[in-house]
Amino acid sequence: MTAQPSDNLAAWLRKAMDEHEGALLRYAERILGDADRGRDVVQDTFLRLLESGGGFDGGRLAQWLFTVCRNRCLDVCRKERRMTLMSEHVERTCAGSDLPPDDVASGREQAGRVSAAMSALPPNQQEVLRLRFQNGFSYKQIAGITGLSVTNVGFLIHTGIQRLRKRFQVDGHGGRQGETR
Amino acid sequence: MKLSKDNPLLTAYALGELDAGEAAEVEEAILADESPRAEVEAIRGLAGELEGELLAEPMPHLSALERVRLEQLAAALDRAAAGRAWHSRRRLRWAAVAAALLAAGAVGMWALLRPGTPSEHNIVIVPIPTPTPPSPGPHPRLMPTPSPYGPAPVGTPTPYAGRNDFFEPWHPSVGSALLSDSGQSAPSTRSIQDDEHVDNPWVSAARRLGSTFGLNVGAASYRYIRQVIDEESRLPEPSAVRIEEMINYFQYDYAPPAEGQGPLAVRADLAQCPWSAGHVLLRVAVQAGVGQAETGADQIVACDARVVVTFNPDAVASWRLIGFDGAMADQAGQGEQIAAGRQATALYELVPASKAAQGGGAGLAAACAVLVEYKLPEGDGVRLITVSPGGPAVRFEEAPEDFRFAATVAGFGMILRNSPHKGTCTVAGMLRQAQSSLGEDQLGRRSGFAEMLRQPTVSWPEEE
Repeated sequence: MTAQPSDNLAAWLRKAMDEHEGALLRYAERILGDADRGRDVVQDTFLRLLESGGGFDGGRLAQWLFTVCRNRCLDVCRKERRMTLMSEHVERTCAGSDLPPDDVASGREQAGRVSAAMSALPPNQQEVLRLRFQNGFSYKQIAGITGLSVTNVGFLIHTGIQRLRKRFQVDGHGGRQGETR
Repeated sequence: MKLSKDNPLLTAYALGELDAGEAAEVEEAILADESPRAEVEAIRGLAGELEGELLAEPMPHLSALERVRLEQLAAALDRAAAGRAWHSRRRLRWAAVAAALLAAGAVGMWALLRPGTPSEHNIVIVPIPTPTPPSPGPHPRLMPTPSPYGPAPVGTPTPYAGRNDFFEPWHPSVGSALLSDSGQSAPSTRSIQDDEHVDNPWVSAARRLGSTFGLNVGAASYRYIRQVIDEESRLPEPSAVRIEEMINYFQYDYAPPAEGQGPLAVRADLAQCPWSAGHVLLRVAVQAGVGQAETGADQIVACDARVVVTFNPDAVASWRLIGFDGAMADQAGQGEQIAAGRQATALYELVPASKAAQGGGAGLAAACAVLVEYKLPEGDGVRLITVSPGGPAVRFEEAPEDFRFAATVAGFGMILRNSPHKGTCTVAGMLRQAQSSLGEDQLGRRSGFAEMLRQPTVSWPEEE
């Protein structure tokens, strides 16, 4: 990813979409619990990118896109919660916390055993775990995206991993001793 | 340093998140004690497994059409900024971008407005590039229409043969999102009988750039109106009057698509509004070509067809879709099949922005753009037609006959609906207008309309 779009904004945008649209769609759908609204938010995110004029290096671009995407998702949740208190659908998908329960967004996915167990974690832990292990962001980048402190991100990831380990009783060599409940 | 199992530093170390100094401290602790070392390995084991699973999750994609829209906006921005330094196009505001694109002749605009996104930012505008004219000079679409009966300005379809996963259903609520923003001025509550009787309200173009309407409109409402007026000598219930069904009951002499131009011809015209001084009417007309086969059944010439009209907020202060009121708006914008020979007409009433209003709406040539997307029944990808008005608003008397007749039907519909927007419309005035725009009227439908307006036994609404 070039730092700047130079003379060809269209090619630059195409490349940014190639690299990031999938991850952003996955992220937005999980926050909103709805693929269609996730698509809207992701398109809007790329629009904002065009509007911003670019000027990011590769890592910063990803962080920028996720930050904008997340803010747009939360705007959507806030607005829908405010506007349609009567709408059960919105209450189901957006209410309560920043993130919906994992199974709302991914019930149809073929989840692995650890990621399936992850759905029992609080939404904020799920989010930082995904940002770290699915999107490869550092603690610092995750802090930038979520507005949390780096310490807070470290704590959430640590706690999330500890809880998953308890679930699986993973031993010191990465082996498994079976799932416990 | 003694590290407990519960210290987040251990996890950070295991994941390589510590700087050299911190990492060295943790390593020292690990060397001194076996328990944190096993802990680090366990963390890495689980993290590795989690990472593997998360990376294997299916990766969604934007549809090819969604990507095309964004790329075309970027391409149009490239063109708009050509010759200027990069920094000068930074931080462009979207309204300014939209206006610049329209002014530059990049007429295709896409406004995709969804519920749930904050109002000032929820606008997706994607211009569809138009072919560059072979020679310099004024953009052909911005030149005045040579004659009211001149050829329809037909946009060039742009086949997109990319991924074939883009025929997704339009968001079901897009119609209402387009047409019922909470920020609009409240519709008049005068003589409301039910939801369908609430006329679409005025919409600020700065708040909502885009609108859509259905292409397959029935005519049941018009037939009902004729029946009760002609046979029962009474006025229909206002809520039974659907202006779009009245307008689309009639045949119009729209030019079919030219050979090799695809199955649909689209045109857009502007004329001064006959019932509200200073307002302008936009007519959008779609004409499907005639199919080859004569099997008796309707031959489908286009699928997944949708129309979007976008308004330039620099030229249009506010707009109003005439007809398609209430629940109808919810269906608008869904992909529709278009049968051979099908026509669709929609009228918008526009309030010009103050600077565009100078010279009787002459500044309105860049008022709007119409985008029609469809695919061929054979399914070779989405095609896009973009059209903008062929010139500034003409005086109503100089507008094409079909345009005048459709506006007359709309005016009569507003009278029957007792619409707050009917302005100076009177039955006598509509009769005069109808008689001067009968055209060839091969089916006799227009003269039937005029006859209905002359019904002596009906007590017409009192005129103000």
